[in-house]
Amino acid sequence: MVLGEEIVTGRGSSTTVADHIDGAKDDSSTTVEAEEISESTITDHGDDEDQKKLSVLIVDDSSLIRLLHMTMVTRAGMEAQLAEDGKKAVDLHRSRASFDLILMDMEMPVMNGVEATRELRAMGVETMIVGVTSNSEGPERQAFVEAGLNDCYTKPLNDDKVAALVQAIKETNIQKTI
Amino acid sequence: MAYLVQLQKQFDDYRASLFNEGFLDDQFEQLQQLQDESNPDFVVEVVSLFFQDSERLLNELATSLDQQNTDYRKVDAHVHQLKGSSSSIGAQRVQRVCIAFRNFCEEQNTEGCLKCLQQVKHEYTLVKNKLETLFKVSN
Repeated sequence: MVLGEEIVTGRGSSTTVADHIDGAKDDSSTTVEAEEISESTITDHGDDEDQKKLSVLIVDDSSLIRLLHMTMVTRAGMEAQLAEDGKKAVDLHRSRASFDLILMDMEMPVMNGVEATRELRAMGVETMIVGVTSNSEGPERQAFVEAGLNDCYTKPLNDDKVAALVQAIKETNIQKTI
Repeated sequence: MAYLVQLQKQFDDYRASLFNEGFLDDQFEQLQQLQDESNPDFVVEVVSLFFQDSERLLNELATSLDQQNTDYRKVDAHVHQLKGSSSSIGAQRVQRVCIAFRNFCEEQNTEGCLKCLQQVKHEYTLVKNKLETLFKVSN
């Protein structure tokens, strides 16, 4: 699937990635830390130090996956925040946090990715939500997509997928300013 | 100098053997590419997490399968986690056993599950030893 093309979100209609990007951030929003970022967090300034970094919320119950994906997105020039289950991700948004991208695991305790995605969409969160799951196919993956994902990748991510996501978000943000 | 060259060759050959014998796949190379000067211990950190997760999950699997009335959903959830973490570091043989393990969970096949538990423990022990050797040689 190529981001930017028409995709079926499962919300009953075809939409593009741009329809789901929450471009305007609320200046009064406060970001609540759902989990302490580990000291090994790397800040990669990349080439565009003056531009505000894209923010990503990584939602996964595996500390290994959180570390892996955090490292990948940081290298791609994004700022990462971590949440260990869907409920923490939802609570962050209830506290007015917002992100450019949410990477959502499917199977998690407390609140899984399907429930969290549904909840976020019901709250009016239009941020790009990309599912990241070990299930490569089947009804469970379809249900995950239909909960409101913009896209769904099989774990683990790699640099190419992350780069494609960054590019898609940047292009969408540019379109929104035109 | 010749000694260092020989050591490097031993390291490279040993590393290559892990891929050739199917213990590791491309995902491990992805991890190595993520390691750099600003993050010099990344691979060791991730692999250490894999060891911690795996040992916890293997204990929980043994406990769950030892119950009189096995909760196969719980067993499957543990295997799913183990499959996820093993695929994330490229531990291919562990991941493959997990796939078979999940099928037996779906069938609620106790004998199949117990067999897979033994297999996955075996494969985990092998890859753990190989990775620990690799890190020792690289130092």
